[in-house]
Amino acid sequence: MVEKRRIERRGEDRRRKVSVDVNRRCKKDRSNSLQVIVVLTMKHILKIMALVVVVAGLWIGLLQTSVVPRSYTWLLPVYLIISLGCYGLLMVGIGLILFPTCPQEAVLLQKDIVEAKEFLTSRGVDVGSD
Amino acid sequence: MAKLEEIETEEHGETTMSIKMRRKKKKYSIIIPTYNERLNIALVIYLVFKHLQDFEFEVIIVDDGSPDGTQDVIKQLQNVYGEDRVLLRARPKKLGLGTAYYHGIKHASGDFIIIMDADLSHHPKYLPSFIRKQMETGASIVTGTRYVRNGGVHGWNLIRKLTSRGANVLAQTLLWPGVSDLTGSFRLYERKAFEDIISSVVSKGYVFQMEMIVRASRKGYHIEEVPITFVDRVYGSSKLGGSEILEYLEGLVYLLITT
Repeated sequence: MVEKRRIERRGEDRRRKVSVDVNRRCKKDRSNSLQVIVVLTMKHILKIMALVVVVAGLWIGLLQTSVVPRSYTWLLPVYLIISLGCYGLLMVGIGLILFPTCPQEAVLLQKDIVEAKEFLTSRGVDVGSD
Repeated sequence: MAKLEEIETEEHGETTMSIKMRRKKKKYSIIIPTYNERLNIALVIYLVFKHLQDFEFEVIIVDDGSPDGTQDVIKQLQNVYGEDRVLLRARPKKLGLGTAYYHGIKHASGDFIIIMDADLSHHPKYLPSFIRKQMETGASIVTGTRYVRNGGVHGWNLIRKLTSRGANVLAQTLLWPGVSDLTGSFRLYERKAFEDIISSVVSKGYVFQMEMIVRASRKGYHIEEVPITFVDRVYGSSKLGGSEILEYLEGLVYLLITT
């Protein structure tokens, strides 16, 4: 009886020690993971706006430093939008060509329907067509 | 079931309770909303029972007061398969898809919720692959996708395929959803994941399905995909007109801003 209680108390102490260690570890990781959590839980529209801001910043930077001739730089956003549109159309086209079809499934389905109708009419379920 | 020692520590990360739960057989609740599916629902139920013989499940049919006698057919099916496995939870009139699932889950007793359509476009033969995928990967959500190589669609003409593909590319570009088929409604959810997500969804119709999966993706749930084949509407007709396209675009903008 005493032995059992001693073992239970030891078990309790072990559990308490483990939970304290876990808490301490959590506090240290919290500051690093906080930054990751902020990015992950940001609303999607904010992520897209952040991307737009970065791209706009790059464009303005290019305008300021004139690495590329000014006339081209002014048209860069237009080029970007056009290429995005072309990429989209390409994706639609490729998807359309590679669209997976399954004509054999229609045949299998008809077989399943016949099998189902046989079974159900034998059990008294009304399977007349609409 | 094996008797486990009273002294277990949290070091092992598992308590007696969770090990016992893991050993218990999982139950699957299949929720099928119906409206005027008198013939198809009988065929679907037969196929579900044929393909899920090794699993514990129940089918909850949420019928929105169909005038064609769907509920009579369901009662006949209950005589064949048992009222404990085929549950009819009817509603007085057409009240929408999202609320149909909400109504269905209140009567569900499973650990997992499977949603599918009643019109035979979703073939029950894929149900075991959903379940197996979930067991293998431990995912919270398994969604069926028609747009991968082993999947596919039959019965769509070129225009229909074009709109589907265009819509998909647009949604992928704007939303980055992490799944290839956003509007699909053949899915398996963990029960608590389903209850958590559905409480924050407000859309109706197929935009509902999009909102469910996008919100799930934003909340960080583990989502897996299985290929399914989709044979469009054997009996009946399906429409894709201008109003559906507008509804879709509105849904996209809504999801872009609020998720």
